[in-house]
Amino acid sequence: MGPSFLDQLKETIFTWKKHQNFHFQPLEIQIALGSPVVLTYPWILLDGIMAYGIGEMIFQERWQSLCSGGQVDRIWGILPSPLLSSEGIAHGSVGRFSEKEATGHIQMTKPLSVEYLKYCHPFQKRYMIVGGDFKVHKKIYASNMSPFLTFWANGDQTTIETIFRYHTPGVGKRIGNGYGKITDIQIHEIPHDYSIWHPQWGLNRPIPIIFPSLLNGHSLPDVVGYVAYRPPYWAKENHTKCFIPAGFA
Amino acid sequence: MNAKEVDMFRAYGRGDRYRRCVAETHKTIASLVETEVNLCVAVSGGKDSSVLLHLLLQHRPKIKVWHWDWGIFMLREFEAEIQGHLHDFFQLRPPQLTIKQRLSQDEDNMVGYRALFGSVSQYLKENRIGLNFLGLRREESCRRSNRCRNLIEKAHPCNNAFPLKDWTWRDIWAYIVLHKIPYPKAYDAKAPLIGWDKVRFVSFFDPEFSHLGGPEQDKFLFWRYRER
Repeated sequence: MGPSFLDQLKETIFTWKKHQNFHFQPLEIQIALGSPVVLTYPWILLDGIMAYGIGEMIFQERWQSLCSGGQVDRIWGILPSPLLSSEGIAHGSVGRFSEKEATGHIQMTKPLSVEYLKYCHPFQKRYMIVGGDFKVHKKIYASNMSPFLTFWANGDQTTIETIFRYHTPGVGKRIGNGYGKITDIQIHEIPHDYSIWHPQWGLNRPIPIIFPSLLNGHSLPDVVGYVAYRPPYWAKENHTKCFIPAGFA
Repeated sequence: MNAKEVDMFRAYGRGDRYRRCVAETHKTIASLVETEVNLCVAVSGGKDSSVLLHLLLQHRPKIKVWHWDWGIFMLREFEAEIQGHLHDFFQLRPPQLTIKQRLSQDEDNMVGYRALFGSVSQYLKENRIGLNFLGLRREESCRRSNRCRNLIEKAHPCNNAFPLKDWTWRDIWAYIVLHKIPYPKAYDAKAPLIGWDKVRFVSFFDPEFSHLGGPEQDKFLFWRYRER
């Protein structure tokens, strides 16, 4: 009996990992946006984008099918990260928009009803329309229309740049519809690591309250909430009581 | 609501359109109150029902009021806020009709609505209500526009009346601002995103209301309550 599918995935990851040599350094990453960013959560985290990008770098075209198949749930934990990690928390900040007030909404509809209804029996057609089957395709999302998004990180500059340039068409939700398009990226080396604590913003990413040592002696933030602290950020298993980054409370 | 918006609605409240609208509604309510003895009003706690309640209390201070609670799908903090408004501002303690059987937001919608309308119908029957006031407006949707074509809708076990059917969102907000009626803070969170004209107070994280913002917007605005 050969190795299982999961073992094959792990083997692929370890093989890729062997050839990598990450060089961590404090960075500031500024992204120019070409379209509004659709948000279903108050913040975008750099390590979430990196985890997805690394997955695509390793598995290439297979990555999309892995995500949809649910197989990827088991390998998130062993995916390599181009970001430095302390206590299991990646040194990648939340995205700070250049204009925080530039929030609005976008409205989307899926034009499938007419095409599909043509082939329905009249009774079924009526049943589906009256039953509200088609109204759910209209959705309203929150969005931010800032021209720039900035992240702070302690990580490998080359890998981060590769991920943003070649494996991340956009940030936020509804990238396939053209939202959150990345038009340009600039990465600068900076003298200090601002991924967890920024002198202007304060706490710069969610941190579980059981790791106050990560704050490096800074005062404990007041705002606490149940949020995810590591990728995948949509997984409920990763939700725990965290200190919340300043400016989002 | 910021100071600029308050000023805007105050200015609108000084206009003829608003004054005529309020005067006509008072006249309508007065005529309905004269003809029917046993009345009640449905209050969800949102902006329309709060305005309707305020108007009706001026004509019939002891009108029966009922309020339904969406159960686990209405965040308890917001439900407590509504109760607070009813107790403190309106000096009322209405009976709460609670939905207990709506187990899932995706699949059990019909079960939940049957439970709701069943309990409402039972309440109306038991209290022998002659006319039930609802704060629906024609502007809100096509379905409501069709439903509120007439002032009174014939229904079982009692008829429904729609005194606010011709009010616009500007009239509602102007009335709230001018009479200092308290409204749920969810409006203040949602309105900057989708506008004061479209903002609605509905159950949270509910796919049924995705066309009004629904879960996608609530995940962004009310992320604190997402995992509870």
